[in-house]
Amino acid sequence: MTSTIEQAGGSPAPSADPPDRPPGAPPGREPRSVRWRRALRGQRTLLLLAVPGIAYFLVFHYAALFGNVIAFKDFVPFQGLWESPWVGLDNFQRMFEDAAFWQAAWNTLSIAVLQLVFFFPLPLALALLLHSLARGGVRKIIQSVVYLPHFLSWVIVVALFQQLLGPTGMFGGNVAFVTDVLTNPDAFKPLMVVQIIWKDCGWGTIIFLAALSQVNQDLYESAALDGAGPRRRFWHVTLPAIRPIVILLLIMRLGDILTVGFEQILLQRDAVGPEAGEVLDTFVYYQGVLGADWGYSAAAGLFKGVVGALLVYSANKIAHRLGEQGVYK
Amino acid sequence: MTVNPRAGGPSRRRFLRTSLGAGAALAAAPALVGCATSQVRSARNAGTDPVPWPEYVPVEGPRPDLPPDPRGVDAGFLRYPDHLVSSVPERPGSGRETLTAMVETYEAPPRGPGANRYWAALNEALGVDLKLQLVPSGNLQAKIATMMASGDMPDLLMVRNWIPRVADYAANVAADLSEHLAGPAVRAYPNLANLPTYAWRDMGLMGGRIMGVPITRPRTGSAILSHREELVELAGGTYNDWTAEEFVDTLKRATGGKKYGFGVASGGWLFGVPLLASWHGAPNLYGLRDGEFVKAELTEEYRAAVEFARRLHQTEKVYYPGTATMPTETMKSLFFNGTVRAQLDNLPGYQAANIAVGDAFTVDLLRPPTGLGAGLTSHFSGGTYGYTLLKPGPPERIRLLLRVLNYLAAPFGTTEYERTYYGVEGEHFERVDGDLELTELAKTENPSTVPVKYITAPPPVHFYPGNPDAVRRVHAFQTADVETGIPPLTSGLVVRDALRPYTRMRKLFEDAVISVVQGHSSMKHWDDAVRTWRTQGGDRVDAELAEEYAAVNEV
Amino acid sequence: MSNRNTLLDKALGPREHRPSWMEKPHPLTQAGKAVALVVICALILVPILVVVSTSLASPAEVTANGGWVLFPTEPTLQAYQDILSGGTITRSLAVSVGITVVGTAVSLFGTITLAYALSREHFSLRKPLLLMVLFTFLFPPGMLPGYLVVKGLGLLDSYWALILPVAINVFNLVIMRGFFQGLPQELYDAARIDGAGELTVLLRIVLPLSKAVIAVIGLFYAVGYWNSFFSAILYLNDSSKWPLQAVLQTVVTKGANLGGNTTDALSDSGAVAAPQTYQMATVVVAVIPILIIYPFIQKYFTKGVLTGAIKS
Repeated sequence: MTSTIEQAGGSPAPSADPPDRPPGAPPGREPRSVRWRRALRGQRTLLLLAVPGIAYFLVFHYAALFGNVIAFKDFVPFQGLWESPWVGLDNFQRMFEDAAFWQAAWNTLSIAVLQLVFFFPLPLALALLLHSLARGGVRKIIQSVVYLPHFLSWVIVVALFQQLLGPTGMFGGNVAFVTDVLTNPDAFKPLMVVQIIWKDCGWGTIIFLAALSQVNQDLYESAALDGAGPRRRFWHVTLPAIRPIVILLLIMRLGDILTVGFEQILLQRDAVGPEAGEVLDTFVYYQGVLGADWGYSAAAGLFKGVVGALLVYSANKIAHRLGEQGVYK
Repeated sequence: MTVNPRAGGPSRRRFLRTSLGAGAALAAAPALVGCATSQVRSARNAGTDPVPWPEYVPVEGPRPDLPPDPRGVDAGFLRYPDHLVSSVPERPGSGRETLTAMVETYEAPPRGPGANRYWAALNEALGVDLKLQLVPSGNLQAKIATMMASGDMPDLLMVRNWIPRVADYAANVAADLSEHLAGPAVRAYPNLANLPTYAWRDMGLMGGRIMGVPITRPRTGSAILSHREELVELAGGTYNDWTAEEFVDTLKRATGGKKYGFGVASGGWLFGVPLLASWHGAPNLYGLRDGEFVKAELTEEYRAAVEFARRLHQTEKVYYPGTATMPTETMKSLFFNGTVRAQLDNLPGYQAANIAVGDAFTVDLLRPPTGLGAGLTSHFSGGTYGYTLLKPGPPERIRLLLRVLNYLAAPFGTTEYERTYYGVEGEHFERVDGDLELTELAKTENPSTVPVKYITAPPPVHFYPGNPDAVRRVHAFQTADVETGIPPLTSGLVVRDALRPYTRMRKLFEDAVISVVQGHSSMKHWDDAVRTWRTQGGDRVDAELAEEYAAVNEV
Repeated sequence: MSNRNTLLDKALGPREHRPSWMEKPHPLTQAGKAVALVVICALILVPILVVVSTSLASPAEVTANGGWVLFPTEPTLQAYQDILSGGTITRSLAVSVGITVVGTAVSLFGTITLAYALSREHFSLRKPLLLMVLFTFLFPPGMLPGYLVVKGLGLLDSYWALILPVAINVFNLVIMRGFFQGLPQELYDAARIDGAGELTVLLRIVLPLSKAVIAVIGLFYAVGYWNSFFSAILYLNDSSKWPLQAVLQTVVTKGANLGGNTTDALSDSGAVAAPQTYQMATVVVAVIPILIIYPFIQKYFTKGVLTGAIKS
């Protein structure tokens, strides 16, 4: 692999780059392969630029991706990947026939939707708030403050919540409403969302701040000269400028929708039980990982991937309908 | 089952083992691909002809102040012995061999032997260059699982019983130690012969063979640590000699004014229900009743314990609030600072508490109350931390590895124990007035940071330098405890086929306990869990365990 | 050239004062913002203060308080001394810094080049390659196959094992590409008229204008490398080669173990008085480097990088 890197390091060396073929150049009637070759001739630099990255994905993802065959096997570790016996769809069957699996899937989806509605927009809102601050110094300090919680591990975040909201904690002991918030199954899902807001809202602003910094200031100026107030400038300048990034993040989140904070939930599910607190990842952890039922874990991973793929595909389609780029076009 | 189960076994196994050991598991020599599937040996003992357990031959050493009982009382030493004996006359290695060992660790990695007097001295004493591959405890399962699958095996591999499929791995890949250790053969390694039989049994046989060496730990299970002075006062004469009602009354009196009677951390402690179940006379994980193999959770006694805990939580309210989410270390702190007057812990926790509390109060161990259910039992733990597997090799190599293990298993009161557990006199410890004082250097150079105590370990002893009273208390507790002690019936049993439902099913009862005790659901929820176990594969687990139990115990 | 210089100057010049066209903000709005920010900061800072204070308190005080301290009476650096005194710390710190620096460079290189190629509308392989990359986002490889690849490449016990398997993150790649695509098309057109090749466009136009996103993605990678410990534990058998976080991991797992094995993990952890202090100290140690780097990155977030880019 080191060789790939060296090679990659050398690849974007000075290249006699022919001017690009204009985008609208007639494709002609040559056979397909010739057309491709011709098309690529003008793109040698782009191709070379893509090589290191693509090589990475081929080696470390696609080679390793074959490991997912164990979803169709009864994987015995010391027998190795290939010698373990095939079991067909047995792992999937066991999974889909299990009521606990669907309960976990439902919990996962509920938490994911709650996150999308209540957590996803907040970093954007906070970023806009920060961005609107006139005093650079204040802004810098606050910016530095809000990302700190991101670096606390979940063990510590959960312990801090315990300290605050637990029955003998700062609020838990005194405010009737929160007494059992940590052990009440009904409060579990909102609690998970509140925790992730506390931990990652600030960190999430970073991308949006970068996007906001790229908005062309001239547009604001000309909009202002045209008589647009702050609100209209927001709707007509700010929002359109950052919309592609927002949509990008949204679609990526949808692809990952069946993943909702494994460590966070593993640490807290016991207190409320599986009916309220089991999510797919913890379910798979107990079934597949602790039991070294690797084929089962892999099957669950494939299931999550397929659901994610469907959602990404649909969301991307919708984005195109709305005239957006989406993740791919 | 009348066919001689061992016919053709060893040679086939050796073939497979050497291939796998050489890393062919994944490189997949084509010849192996076709046939390997059918040749995996089960680690189960049912249907095998098990070899005898290693004989127990105690090593003669300094006389303990408080005597041990092989059933489960550890020797107590009130002060460090004046005269040590030697139990290993010859250096295990020649000084030229290199030896790799993968072990779990709870400490930051130490300096290497070049800059570590303790490690260097140990290497010198062992006559080998010991290379340790450390695995932080939180990552043990993942690391061992990948290692099993990758075909790389160190010379010595520490494993834990709960690591899935580890018994199968041991049966198929590790060196078979039967001819070196079974029955009288173990006498060639006196310190291994000195390991209690319960430790060997907890490791278990794999496919009827001895495949490892256990890491011995005390047999006492969990216990409740108490703030002795305050509870003695609150108990009004019934302290440690109480009926269940007197016990509950004491906890109730101990609760109030920002203090709490009973503290239990979250996680596997389950509101103390397993301990309460032993007070009610429930079996230890499994029981033999009228010849039937019965899971503890399915018994009336266990159900009564769940109900008892529910009462303590919902009616008497003696638990520290938030037990279901309380981190262990926070709970310990609450006990150390007196907020919680009795805390559920285990034997190592007792020692830690004595050190942490110092002179603030006396840390005691509560005796269980009488008059509950079918009568008192106390549930032993398996009595091991895990065990160590050896990489297959020529007999001379295996013997070298066993000699190293023999050294590390040298018991308290030997010069070898002193070297392994305390290091070098003048560097890591001093003898002061006949007692032992650890130096500053011993904080970073000891068998925990250079975690050789997780390779194998001698029978435990109680010796807390400077605190002989703590030794007396715990020895008295064990002496009483051992009378009602029952070992876990499943100790060392292998349930290959049943392992998968078992993992989830265990969670089933844990979830039910937490839900019922906290009052989220009624006792009916518990009964439902019991029914689920019976109808969804739990029966199969029970049946397999019963079969295994019979196979191992006909020896 | 002069065009580009103006552009760069403008890009780098932070504009902190209210431009002439902008209205004076309403005092109520200002007050509302101020209140919101004060509340947000308080919600964050109080728990953070607990973390820092606890790391500075003596174990005895932590115990007396039931595990936490808001204001330590006698601040001490004992916890830091203890966790950093293992003997391998200096080296592990150097390893961490090295891996973070080299890893971030490798990652940024791979991400920028690929993201740029995939952002060019006329690149014929754009869509298939992009889909190929996205596919790996949805179907990540398992731990074991990853291990086998690393082993197959002979990277076990090599520092490259900590970098190469995670060199490019699909999420970061997609974000980077999104930003590249967000640059005004006029820039590319102008460059083409000037006869600039792709490499020139990337180096001279796209990169200078993308400082903000490169800083962000670089930060994401750096934080990832800095915080990662599991790959070290998995791939480096020789613990003297471990980076700092792998070393600290042993301290953290001592106190709080994930999952079902809490009790037996703790049964052997021995006499540890107040791991909370240690845990909090490890958190602080993990955050400090980020605190050091962040101000350098922050300057790229100032408003109006693109001001006047097209006009000039």
